[in-house]
Amino acid sequence: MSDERESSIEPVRDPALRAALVDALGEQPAGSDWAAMTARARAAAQLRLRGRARVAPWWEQVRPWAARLLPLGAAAAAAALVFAMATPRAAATADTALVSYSLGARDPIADAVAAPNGSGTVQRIAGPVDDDWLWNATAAAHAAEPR
Amino acid sequence: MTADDAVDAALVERVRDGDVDAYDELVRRHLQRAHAVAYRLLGHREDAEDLVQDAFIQALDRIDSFDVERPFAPWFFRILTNRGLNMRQSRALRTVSEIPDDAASAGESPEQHAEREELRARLREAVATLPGRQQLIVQLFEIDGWTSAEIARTLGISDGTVRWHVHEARRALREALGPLRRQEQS
Repeated sequence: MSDERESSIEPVRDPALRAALVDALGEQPAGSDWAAMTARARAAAQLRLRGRARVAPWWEQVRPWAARLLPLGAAAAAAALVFAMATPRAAATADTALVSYSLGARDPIADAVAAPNGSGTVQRIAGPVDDDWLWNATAAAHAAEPR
Repeated sequence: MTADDAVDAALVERVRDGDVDAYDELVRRHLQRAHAVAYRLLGHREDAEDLVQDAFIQALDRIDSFDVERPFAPWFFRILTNRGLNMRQSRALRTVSEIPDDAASAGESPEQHAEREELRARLREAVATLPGRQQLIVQLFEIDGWTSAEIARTLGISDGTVRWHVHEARRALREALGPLRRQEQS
């Protein structure tokens, strides 16, 4: 039989034939659980589809993390900048400094000022340590030097 | 392509990218119709459900070969009907429990009951002698009330071909029923 053959006349419904066919072959069964069937199909497909899942390019994978982390990074950088501007410069205003000298090296005055407790000692000097302080201390040492 | 076909095509594209929800939606859109066709092919609800599941999985396995420029339904239903016809040939189907049993109806005489049984048997036999697709078409048209256009769209054939199958099937069935009908009338 060929499927190419066609009829242009729409068949009229035949109630007697329908009744006989229903009696012989039955109606469509009612009460099919469509939700259960859909769930069954989904479960069967899930494994197959997991294998097919498209791997996103790296920039798409990174984008959500970048969106979360960038504001945090910016906030941290701003906080660091504010902190740096508000904090006095350490070198010029240090309250204390640890200095180690070797007595008798080349400058006995500086030795006397800096390490009165002897060679190789480490002395904690209170107050800002800068050129003025060192000049004054050296001048005092010269003045005290026996003539 | 119709709007429905376009929706199907979009869902197929998403399924190809591994989208389970899109597959769900595709199944939901065609499930009831698929079950109706499967039931007419196999005559048993559980067998029909198994066939529908098999067909959907097979369609998923072949989804890359589907041409999205064409309608999805005929492609899917070709898979379903081919598989159903093969199952019917190769597998001993369970007893068709949904077919009305042989018990006599109330108020029916033994002669009338015997006559009705003969009519049923002849009709089943006559349907079974029709080509597979013609059996399906005549049942969807006569029993389930589908229009020839609906059947054509689902099976991917022309309206005219559907109508021709219905005419041919009716002729064969009326011939089978003829003697009994004449007896009834006389």
